[in-house]
Amino acid sequence: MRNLIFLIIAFSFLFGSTSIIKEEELSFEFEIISDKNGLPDTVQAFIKSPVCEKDKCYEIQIIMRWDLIGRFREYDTLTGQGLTKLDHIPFIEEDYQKLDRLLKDPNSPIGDYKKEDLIHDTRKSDIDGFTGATIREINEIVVGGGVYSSYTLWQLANRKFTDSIKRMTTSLLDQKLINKLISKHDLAVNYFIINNLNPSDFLNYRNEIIEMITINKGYFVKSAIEKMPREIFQDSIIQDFFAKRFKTFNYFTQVAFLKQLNSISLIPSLKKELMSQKDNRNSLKNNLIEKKLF
Amino acid sequence: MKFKYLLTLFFSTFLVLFSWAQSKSILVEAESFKDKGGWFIDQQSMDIMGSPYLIAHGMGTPVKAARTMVKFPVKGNYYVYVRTRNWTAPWSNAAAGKFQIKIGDQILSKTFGQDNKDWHWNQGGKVKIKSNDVEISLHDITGFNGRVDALYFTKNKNDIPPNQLVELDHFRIKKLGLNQNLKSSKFDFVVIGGGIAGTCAALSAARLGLKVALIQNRPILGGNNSSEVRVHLGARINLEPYPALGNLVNEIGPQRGGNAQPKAYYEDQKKLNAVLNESNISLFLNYHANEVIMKGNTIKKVIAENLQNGEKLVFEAPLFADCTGDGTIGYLAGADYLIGRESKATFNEPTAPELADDLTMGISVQWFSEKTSEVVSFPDIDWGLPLDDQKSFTITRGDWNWETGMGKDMILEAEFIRDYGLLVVFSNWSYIKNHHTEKDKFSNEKLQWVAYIGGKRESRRLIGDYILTENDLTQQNFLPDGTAPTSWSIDLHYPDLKNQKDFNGEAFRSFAVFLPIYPYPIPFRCLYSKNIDNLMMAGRDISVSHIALGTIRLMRTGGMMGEVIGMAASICKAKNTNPRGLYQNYFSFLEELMLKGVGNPSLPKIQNYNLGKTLMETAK
Repeated sequence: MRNLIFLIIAFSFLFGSTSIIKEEELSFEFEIISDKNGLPDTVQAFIKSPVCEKDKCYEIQIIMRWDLIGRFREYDTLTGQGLTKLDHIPFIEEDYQKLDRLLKDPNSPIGDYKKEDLIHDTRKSDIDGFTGATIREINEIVVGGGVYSSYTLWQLANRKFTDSIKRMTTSLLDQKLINKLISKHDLAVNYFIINNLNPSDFLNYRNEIIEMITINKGYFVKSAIEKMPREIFQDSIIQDFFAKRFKTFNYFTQVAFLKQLNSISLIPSLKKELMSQKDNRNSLKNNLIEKKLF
Repeated sequence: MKFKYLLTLFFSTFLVLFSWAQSKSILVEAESFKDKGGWFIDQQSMDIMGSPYLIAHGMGTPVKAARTMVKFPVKGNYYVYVRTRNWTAPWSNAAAGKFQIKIGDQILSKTFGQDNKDWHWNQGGKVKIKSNDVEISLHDITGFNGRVDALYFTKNKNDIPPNQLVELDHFRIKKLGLNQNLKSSKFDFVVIGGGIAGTCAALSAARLGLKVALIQNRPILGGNNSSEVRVHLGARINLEPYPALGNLVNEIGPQRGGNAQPKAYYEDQKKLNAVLNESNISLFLNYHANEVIMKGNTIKKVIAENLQNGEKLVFEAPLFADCTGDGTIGYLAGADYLIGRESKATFNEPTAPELADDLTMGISVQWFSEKTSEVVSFPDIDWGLPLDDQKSFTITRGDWNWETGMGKDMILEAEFIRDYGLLVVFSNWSYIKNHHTEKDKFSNEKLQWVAYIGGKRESRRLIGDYILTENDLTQQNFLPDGTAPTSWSIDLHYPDLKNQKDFNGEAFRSFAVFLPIYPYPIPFRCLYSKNIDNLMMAGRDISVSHIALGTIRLMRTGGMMGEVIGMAASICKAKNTNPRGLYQNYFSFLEELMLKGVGNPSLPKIQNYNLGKTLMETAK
């Protein structure tokens, strides 16, 4: 039984109806924690798992929490149920801090490896033979004596449930929740919103969308414009907004906007703005302006 | 009168005999040995020391002998000269890389590799050649990187080959009978450098219908990501504003990450197969491009030399790509370039030093050991650095931060820098195996792999019509000609100060300073030379400041640059223009191609490791 891990994880999901997500042969249940207004706020899971490394086993009991778009936020232990390592050695404060750092790093190099790379020395090479180099590299960032459990917990915190939590939140989206999410002014949350709105919702939330475009930078504006249904650009208020903002957009956002104008009648102020933005160099932007205006 | 006549006769006879003796002399290049045994060809410094050479990289175990047959036109006695050097001479009186030479059944009494600090013709004594066909073999004694460039057999003791490089080059051409009337092969696009950037440039152009030559001075493709260097790919692909860029990197890049891992991690064959599957690419492995023929500011031809037989090939094309990392082709063509660190005032960069200097990031000689079931010994070397328990490192793997040469000339001193990398790895390993108070912990550890091809980060940066700087990156100054997005943090390396102090100012450990950035599309004007009309670049030698180099130097980013310049080459051909003409008059065509990409979009996305920190907004 060398190098095998036994993992049984149980979650309870108590918001509205219970949601169970099956991951291969394992079952997980989520609990949605509400805020004081009764709106979804956090997703929580209780994990109870015996973990065996080589011929020794120990049990992990831990509570994990994510935000509504599946980003890991924190973990807790139960009173009297502190984490232990091999030989039931209790975690010391340093171990807890290390685990906290690891789980809160979604870009940790531990995510670069497959579990079998850590468990079996299968990495035979035609010249080098096999090596434990990978395991050694990972040892620097995991809790000593707990490489496999650290790996498993990191996967649960940062990889396994992100999409499931997003799907769950999407199913709960209504005007109140959308307003709450928009008010967070969190770019990742804003992306989540524009990626999950129905075309008709864009019209319903026109003001909120305009606000998001106004306060955000980078590629969010480009992405939002690309997600918006073409009909929305027929709206003269929307056109006026873009006429005023066009020159503040980066080049790629400008191109995305111009692509949305195909077969749309333009108000004079937008025509005038686009005319002033054209120059002589060959570019997609100039081609699109030319096609639209001439 | 009679005396004058006799004197004339004497000198005439002497000249005839001298000429006859010289005509019977033979030059044998070590790299041309038929059976190289355990010796490897090293070309990393050939532009500086004049030739590729053989190196006995045995990591402490003598390598198998290299052998070749040599045809002697005349039997009899010959004087032997051997071009070699003592590579540890800069640091020690003892020599690491010793070897002997066997000619026929005679072993020369001299042990080579222990005399001269610089490359030099060493006298090997006299040998009697008893038959016309004789086997010559190189016998490594130490397993510690002995090296030999060539052997010269002459009837005349005073016929010593030249040590001066220009004379040596002429000598080689004459003695080897190398053909000087070279024939040209014509291509649409010639890419020099088969790292990730060059490989992607060639693939991209070929898939868009161009006839491409890809020239690589190693036996495999991949550069720093090959199994010869073992640096994993880094940074992100498939980013805005051109999410299709990078599918090509995804196609050819290894599935697994990790620096200094077993050979299989780097999937050399996958990269090679990708190129071999493109009928439009002619691949020239083991060819080093080291000469250009210009007409004004235009490169007409590039000449590349075969590393084993010295054969030269001429490549003629309307467009060339310098993906050499060192900016070799640009340098030869007279392209303007930057090197070292610019001052803060040069580009108004907050992170730049007050005064410009020569500090560059270094070369990594990575390594790792493996625990075995038996006790494994390692030579207790007498030529290593003086170490003690405090100065040594009780570790079993040397990652990127085993870095040498910071502040040295990455081109002129490349051999010294790589050798210092080898010296410190072997010194440290010898100490912890033989002397460290915790040596018992290492008794079963075997040194499995040490790079002999250094992983280089920085050298020349060719100047384009635009120079990307820190301010562009941090202020998100997106330009309309943005192309491949660079996403890795501005990641600049410096010598570890304690290590530098411990080792007489010559650090071999480094630390990195990271400044995360928002992904930034590299302007197309950074990807072509400002003063060489038909030269593009991809990889670390593009037009950037030293600070901006800190982010663009990652290989996935370089691969996307390659994808872009391959596309640009196809447009240049179709529109009969050069890169600047493309920027000015046909850029929308490049935008359209970048939106499509040339890689296969339907393959599983496997480039998920070593993505690096970013300020990028979460898009999903």
